[in-house]
Amino acid sequence: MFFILLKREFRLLYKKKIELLQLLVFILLGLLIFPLAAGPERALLASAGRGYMWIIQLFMIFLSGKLFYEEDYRDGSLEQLFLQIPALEMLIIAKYIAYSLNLILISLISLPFLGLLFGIEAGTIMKTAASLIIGIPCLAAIAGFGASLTLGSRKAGLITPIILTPLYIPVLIFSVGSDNFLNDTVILTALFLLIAPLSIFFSALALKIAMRE
Amino acid sequence: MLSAQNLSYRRGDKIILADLSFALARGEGLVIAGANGSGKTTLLKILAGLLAPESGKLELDGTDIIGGKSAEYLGRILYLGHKNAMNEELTVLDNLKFWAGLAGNEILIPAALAYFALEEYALMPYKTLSHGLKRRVALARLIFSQKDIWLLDEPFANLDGETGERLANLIATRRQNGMVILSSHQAVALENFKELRLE
Repeated sequence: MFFILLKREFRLLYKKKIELLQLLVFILLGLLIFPLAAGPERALLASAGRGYMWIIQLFMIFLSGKLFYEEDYRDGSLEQLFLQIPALEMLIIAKYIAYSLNLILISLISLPFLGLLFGIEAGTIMKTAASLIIGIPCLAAIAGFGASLTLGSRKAGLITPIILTPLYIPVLIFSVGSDNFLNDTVILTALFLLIAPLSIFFSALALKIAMRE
Repeated sequence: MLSAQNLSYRRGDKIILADLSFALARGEGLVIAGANGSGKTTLLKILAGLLAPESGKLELDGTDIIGGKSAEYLGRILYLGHKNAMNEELTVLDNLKFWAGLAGNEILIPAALAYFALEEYALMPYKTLSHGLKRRVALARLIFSQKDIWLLDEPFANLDGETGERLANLIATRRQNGMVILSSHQAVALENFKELRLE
């Protein structure tokens, strides 16, 4: 049953090819603009690159993450799923997996451009890739929680970033990283293990409340 | 036996349902009649466990089923709301495959398409369909449902004559070995159905 849910999430993502392309263009343009605006100083670009990549990720999630359950809520699928699957948590996990894998893939595709435009060496790019692979699911879990909390509210676009920003910050700090790569990775993984179950549990509660309105 | 005793529901200051009671045995049907805004949808949502009443009792064979807390009851009902629960982006077939897959009954998809004359639309994106056709796709889910208690919100609205008859047959069959509760703002002729009129 879980795989049926997961299959549907991937199918829906794949149906919206234009939106996928939009995300990719968003990252690439963002990466292109920064070196132009900040000037050609190599040392500055190389040190700012990784952090800048994460800022782009955060904005991408701000823009797309609030729509997590919107479609299913509007067309009535969410109610039906609540009645048909043993636990809403299954749906939430399926959504997180599909959304995260999709963002990770798009980000990894754009990493060579980061290296090229910011003059970052291959080793740092690899570290960035690792932090994206662990960090994006964290951000997705936070965004998903925010989406469930404000589902059906017209003010969602205003409230969600304000509520969620304090939650994003720890993830951002350890994703951008210090000199100690191993340490950061361990902490990031720990953050993920903490955030994901909490987010899944509370999202399920919030979704049930949203359906009662 | 599904029994409701003194169900009340209020939204804000507005009383939507007041002291509503009825009982329904296996093999019986119930038509919830009433004008727009009389609380038909609210009552069906309460019966489906999507809403909890403010007060009152709701039991199936003696088990409390309020607010979807009985997993066994949730496993027995099929609720069809006035939203169709079909994704606009997916094709008719993909949508039906998803719901049939969850119901564990993919084998009945061709039968469902045929019964509601939807074969020629199967590969079209759901969003390109007209209102009536969209509703027909949602109703096709009834064919592969294995649930024995059906809760249908305005199933006859927006249907053409022939589809309406086919639906009535389907409902009659389910009623014989289960229970059907449906709402309607217009008169429907269904055998062995009680009527509950909401003010």
